[in-house]
Amino acid sequence: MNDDILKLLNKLKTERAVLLGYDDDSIHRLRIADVYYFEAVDNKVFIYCKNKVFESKQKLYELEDMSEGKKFFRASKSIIINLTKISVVRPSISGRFEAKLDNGENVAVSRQYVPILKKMLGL
Amino acid sequence: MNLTDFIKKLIRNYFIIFAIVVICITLLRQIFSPDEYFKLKDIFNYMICSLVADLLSLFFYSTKEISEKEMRLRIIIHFVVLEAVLLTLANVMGWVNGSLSTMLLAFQIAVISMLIRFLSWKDDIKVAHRINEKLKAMKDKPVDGPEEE
Repeated sequence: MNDDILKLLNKLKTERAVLLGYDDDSIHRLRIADVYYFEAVDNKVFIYCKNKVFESKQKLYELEDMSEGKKFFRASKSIIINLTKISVVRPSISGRFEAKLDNGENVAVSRQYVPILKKMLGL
Repeated sequence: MNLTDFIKKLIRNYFIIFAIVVICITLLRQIFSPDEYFKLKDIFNYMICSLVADLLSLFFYSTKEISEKEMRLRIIIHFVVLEAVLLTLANVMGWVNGSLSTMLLAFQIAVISMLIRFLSWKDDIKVAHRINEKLKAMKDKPVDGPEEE
């Protein structure tokens, strides 16, 4: 089995990985590959997709474990971003970084997590 | 960052600031006044200044996530307090005398602060550029290409 096959298998696993998102009274099955980012706000965890936000019953660290090896990275204490959904990263004058996602949303990236992102990208 | 990590960073930064101050002053004295020597009082002064500059970074400590707007506000408050503390210290210690030299020192502090922020921002642009190149390469890869929606 060469590297390309392993990568393909990993991609298939990522696409098939599913989590549950709650939206009022309905429960949705979400592909982890469709998630843009996870955010914890006031003890609640939210799943941000392209145009919709769902609540998750899982803790942020559980989602972090679940998304490990699936091109997700912790951008701050409360946010985990899907790397494949980042359109561009830019610095702000306040000394932090900001990730613009493919759906136009801007998400803050803490300075202390930038070395982790660089390591993930092989920099 | 928790408080313990922040304190560790504070202590490490204190020694870095002190070392940079001593190195810069040693080199400048070597160039402009090689016959002068350091007094014990001078070293204490550098230690006090380094401590003041370092302790003011407590303005950036927070257990919660700081928003962009809040961060900008903290930068402004940090700058104003840094100016006030260093100018007061300089006047009390007799390093500057009169309003003109105080204003000159205030201007120097402002220039150095802006220069550090600008250089840091320029460096961040380079980092962001390298990250963006890697992200683009990752998205363009046929095997790991963009997922179909």
